[in-house]
Amino acid sequence: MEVKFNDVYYVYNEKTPISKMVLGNINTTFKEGTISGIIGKSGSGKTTLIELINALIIPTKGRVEVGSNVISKTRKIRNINNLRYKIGLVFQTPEEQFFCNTVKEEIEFGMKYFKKSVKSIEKHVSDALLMVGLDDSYLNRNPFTLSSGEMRKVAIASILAFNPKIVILDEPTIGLDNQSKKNLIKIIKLLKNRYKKTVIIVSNDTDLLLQIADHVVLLDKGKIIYDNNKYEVFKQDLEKYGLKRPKIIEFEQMVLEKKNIKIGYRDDINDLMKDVYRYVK
Amino acid sequence: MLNKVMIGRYYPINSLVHKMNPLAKIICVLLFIVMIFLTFDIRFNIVMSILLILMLFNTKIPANVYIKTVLSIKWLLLFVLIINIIVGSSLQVTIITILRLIYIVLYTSILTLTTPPTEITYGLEKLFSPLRLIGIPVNKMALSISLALRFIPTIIDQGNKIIKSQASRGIDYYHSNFKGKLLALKSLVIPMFVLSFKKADDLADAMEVRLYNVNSRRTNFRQNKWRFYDTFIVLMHLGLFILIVKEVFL
Repeated sequence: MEVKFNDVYYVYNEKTPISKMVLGNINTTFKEGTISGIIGKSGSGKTTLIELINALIIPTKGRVEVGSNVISKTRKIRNINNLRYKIGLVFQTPEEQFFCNTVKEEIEFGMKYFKKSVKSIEKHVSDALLMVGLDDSYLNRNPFTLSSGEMRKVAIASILAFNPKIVILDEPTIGLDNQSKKNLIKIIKLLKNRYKKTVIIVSNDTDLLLQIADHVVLLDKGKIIYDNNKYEVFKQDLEKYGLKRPKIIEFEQMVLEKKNIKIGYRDDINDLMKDVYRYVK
Repeated sequence: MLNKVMIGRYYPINSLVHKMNPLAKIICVLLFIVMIFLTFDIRFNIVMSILLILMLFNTKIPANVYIKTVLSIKWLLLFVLIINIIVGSSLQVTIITILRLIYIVLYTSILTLTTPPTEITYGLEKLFSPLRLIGIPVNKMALSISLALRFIPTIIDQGNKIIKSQASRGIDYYHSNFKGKLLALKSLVIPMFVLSFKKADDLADAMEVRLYNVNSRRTNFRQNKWRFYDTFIVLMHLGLFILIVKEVFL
């Protein structure tokens, strides 16, 4: 499923003295089967952008197209839950959404009571847990006693369990250790390559995005500054938007400037190290 | 969803009523509420209506805000109307009873719309400060009120966030049947409780590491001076109050 923004505006607290334009003139497309990154410093409207996709908020002007559904102020969406089952959104703070006694109830809650058509819920639950790297022993644990990394994994699992076509992750790597980060990257790649899902990641971790994303959108003060291939975006001067370039790109630019050697772009820092080692030898 | 709650929200613009001393505003509200329950006399009610309209006019807040506030108690008004019809009270009494409720809501909303919560606490602290002489810990009470008020918007935001994150998991707050709605409510209430307790703990710790002492004297961020128009408006209320008391009791 494709997500398309058509001249979208969003004004917070409209028609009051504290109204504030969060997003303006947004035109972009998140294509099916790709991983897209949204970057920008805090307060630039990243979270608002992804809430628009899920129809949690309705745009003040313009329209958001998700597959065949259209979200706009003039047209009312008839079956909002159908739309939301196609989109899985994991929020920044997963511990805010837990309310059940066990992890199992937590994951199956949405399906059990609100989506009747899902068969063999149990299997879905343990598959989802397995995908995020937790085993079945977690099923009967209390979600409030988990560490924050595990909480995030359970939150992601509770989204993956109902098999959405679009997966949106809001700052997925905050508070994760190195191993969990690697696992998460593996999951995201799997979602793209095997299941052909549309993945949208909101993050300021440019190294992570260079490694996995295909296309990157840079937001600043509610406007899109760059919307392009990741190399094209990361080549630009990101300092003035409060971000830092990925280390690999930094290194490559430095080599190009000082030694005038073009070494090309790589996604993974390990590849770069191998190449450099070969060159030195 | 929770954005529609209008009662108790501060409306930040600049007007005469916004600039009034919070203590003066609280005194006016108290006098007005007592006054309005004292008399069914139509003359006094007209005077009080004029007073209320003058105050509303001076806040410069758009009328639709007040209309929303009144509409939020429409079921209560309907209930009062039905009770009055059942009891069989006269038309004048029924109308005045309903108007009383509307006036009280409007007048208290003047206070909350034009005064930030911290200033209300300042006013309450000043109002009750004579009680310190008989050993009542006014400053502690003021602190707990100001903390409670300060957390209302935070908790509303929190609630909005939880609703959003549950809705994105497919929990339906609007379209499901009664049982579904109850279950959906459960998914909102439990995280709210857990997070509120956590927030309270965090706040207590944060105050303790900054060596907060309730009993020490502290100054205010805003210098709330008592100006001429404070005296004028309070005297206006007080005059009317004395007139009504004289009429009713003497």
